[in-house]
Amino acid sequence: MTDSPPRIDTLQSIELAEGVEIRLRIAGPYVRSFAYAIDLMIQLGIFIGLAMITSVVGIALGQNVGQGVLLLGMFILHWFYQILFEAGKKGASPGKRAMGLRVVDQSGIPISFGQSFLRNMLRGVDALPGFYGIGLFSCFASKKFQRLGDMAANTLVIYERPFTQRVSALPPALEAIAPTMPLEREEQAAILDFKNRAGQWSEARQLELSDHASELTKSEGREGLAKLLAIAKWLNDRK
Amino acid sequence: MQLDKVQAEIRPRSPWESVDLGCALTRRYLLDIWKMWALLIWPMWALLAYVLSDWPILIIFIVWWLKPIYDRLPLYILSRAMFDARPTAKQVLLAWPKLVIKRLPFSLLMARFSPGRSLNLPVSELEGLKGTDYRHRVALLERNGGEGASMTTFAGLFLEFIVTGALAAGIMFMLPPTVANELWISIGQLFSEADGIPAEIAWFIVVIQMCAITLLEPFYVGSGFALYLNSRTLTEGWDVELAFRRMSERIHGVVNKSKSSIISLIALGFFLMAGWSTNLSAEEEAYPQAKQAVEQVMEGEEFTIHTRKVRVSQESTSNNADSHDLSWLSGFPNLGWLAKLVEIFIWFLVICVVSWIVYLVSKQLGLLANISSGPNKLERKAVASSVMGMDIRPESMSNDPASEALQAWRDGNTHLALSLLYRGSLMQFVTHRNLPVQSGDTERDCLLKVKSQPELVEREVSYFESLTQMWILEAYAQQQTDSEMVRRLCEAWPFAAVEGGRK
Repeated sequence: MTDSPPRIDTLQSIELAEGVEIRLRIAGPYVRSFAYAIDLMIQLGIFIGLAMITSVVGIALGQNVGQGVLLLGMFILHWFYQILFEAGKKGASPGKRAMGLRVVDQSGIPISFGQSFLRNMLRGVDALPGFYGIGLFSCFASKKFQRLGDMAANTLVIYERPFTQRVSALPPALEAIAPTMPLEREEQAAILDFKNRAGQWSEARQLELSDHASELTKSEGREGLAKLLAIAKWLNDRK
Repeated sequence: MQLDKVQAEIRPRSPWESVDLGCALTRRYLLDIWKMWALLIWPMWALLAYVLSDWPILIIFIVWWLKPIYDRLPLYILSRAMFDARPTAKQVLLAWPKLVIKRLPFSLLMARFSPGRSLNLPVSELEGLKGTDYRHRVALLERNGGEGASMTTFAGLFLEFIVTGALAAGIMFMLPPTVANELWISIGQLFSEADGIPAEIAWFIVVIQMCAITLLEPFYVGSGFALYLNSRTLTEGWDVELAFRRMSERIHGVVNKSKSSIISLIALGFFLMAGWSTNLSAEEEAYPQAKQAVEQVMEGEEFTIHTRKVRVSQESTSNNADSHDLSWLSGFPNLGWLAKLVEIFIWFLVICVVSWIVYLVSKQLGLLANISSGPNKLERKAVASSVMGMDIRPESMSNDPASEALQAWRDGNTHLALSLLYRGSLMQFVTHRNLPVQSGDTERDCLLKVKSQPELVEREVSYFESLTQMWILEAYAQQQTDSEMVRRLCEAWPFAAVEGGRK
């Protein structure tokens, strides 16, 4: 196992100046194309609305004026819809927001207007040879699921909100027992996780899992489970 | 299944995140998958196309319908590779016949149109569940990520449409214009004439569709497999199991390590008391004796802690006005003379730096121009041998540049004439009038320096000024210079012929 490649994951870890490590959860091609489809629908809706308005304006002011306004609106819609939304506070177009995504710099900070401008101007390249062929290929092939515009502007599309699990905790133990040896952070988290999620597992599965921690509890079966829950209570109380 | 051999990071994920993990997983084993795909699926398609060669539209439809069969291939490879048992080509080939025929009607009819097909695929293929068991299991797994699976299916359809379009557009780009035009015409006929789709268009779509499925289907299957794993992670607590296993391993390792360190301590005790032979087979017996041995060693001369008290006189500390305790300094001899020396040295440095800065500033302001124009040896040494890339050493020039320039002018080469004059006059200024020209100076700098020399002859200065103007026009502005002016410049050469020049 030591010489095998690292475990597959879709995280981008970044070390901040303070020495703190944060992890960005990068979004892949499926969810991004879904978000793009939503954006496309919204743009289409705006376009239809604009066309109706300009046809009315066209009756009043002459057909050429209406057509001119429509063309201008199309231009702005096509080139600035994404730029303005992504450079804004939420860092995401409405479609991306609907999918819980946002665009950030590689270092995790919000993107600047310049980055937004660059990554969206390069949609023209990503859209080649039609139907976003190059962009999709690049998104599938690059390690961080980036299309060419992302690479040029040094941006990532990430999930904004963390995933929250369903909590269905077991009743807490009556007494708290300190673990017999110091536990690492991941191990403490796993024990608390066990307590919080065990309600959705069958009893057999609960026992099976707590048996895996028998090195810590020094006992097996129901006794081990009870002891594990007592340790979980100790960890929980101490916080 | 051996959970500890899993090749991906197992943690609870949102459905979309698991889809992304599936993409990353597929990407790692993509070459394996495509190799086997080309070996197993394409021949199948070729056979299909041959049998149904009269009805290409039907081929499109059947190729699409048979997707569950192809899906089994990437799933077989991925599910094994995921647990560190990457199958060889031979294994896949041997397994393939069984994979194809297994429960064909079920997967092609009942399971074909389930929106969460990608998530359910592993249940029927890997777990081999049937009937009510299958339905219960699917219902359980779809509680975590079922909606993600159906959305993936829709996104997959969208992507397939996109890839098909992109491939078609790409091929259209690559085709020679005449062929592309024919294709466009027949596409146009699609809408104008009602006698069905022309055959060439249909075959074009068949090929593109096959390519699109080859490109995308592995990712769709990988996404479904990752969704399945994530769902099981959530419903069975795989991440907790893995964490517990790692914890147990660690604790086990720590306990073992502490045991072994006790044993090695005992061994050390043996080593130190070589010759001490007692029966120390049992650990309980060994422990107190080892302790005794350690104590005995600790009492030895080497381990005695020596202490020494140093008395410090009170006077020196009372001199010290500030709060820092500098009493330790009193132990040193008086170093006042050294401090004085250092002080002098620092003042010397400061004076040097200040005078250097004053020198630089005054040089910049031209205050030292008078001093440097004198017969200063240092300055003479620094005289440039070339300015603006032009060689102005006297050795490089003829004795009489004016007549040479005139000759060049007669030949019609005004550029050469002007450059000879310019170089010659610069050389005169530099070598005989001690003009402080540097190699980085421009024409303008040279002119300014010439003008700022008070002892230069007025005639020479005005000559150089008009010559510089002509030269700049000729060399940089590329303007047609007044030929008569050039001749006049040649004749008005103000410098005397110099000895030491090249004959």
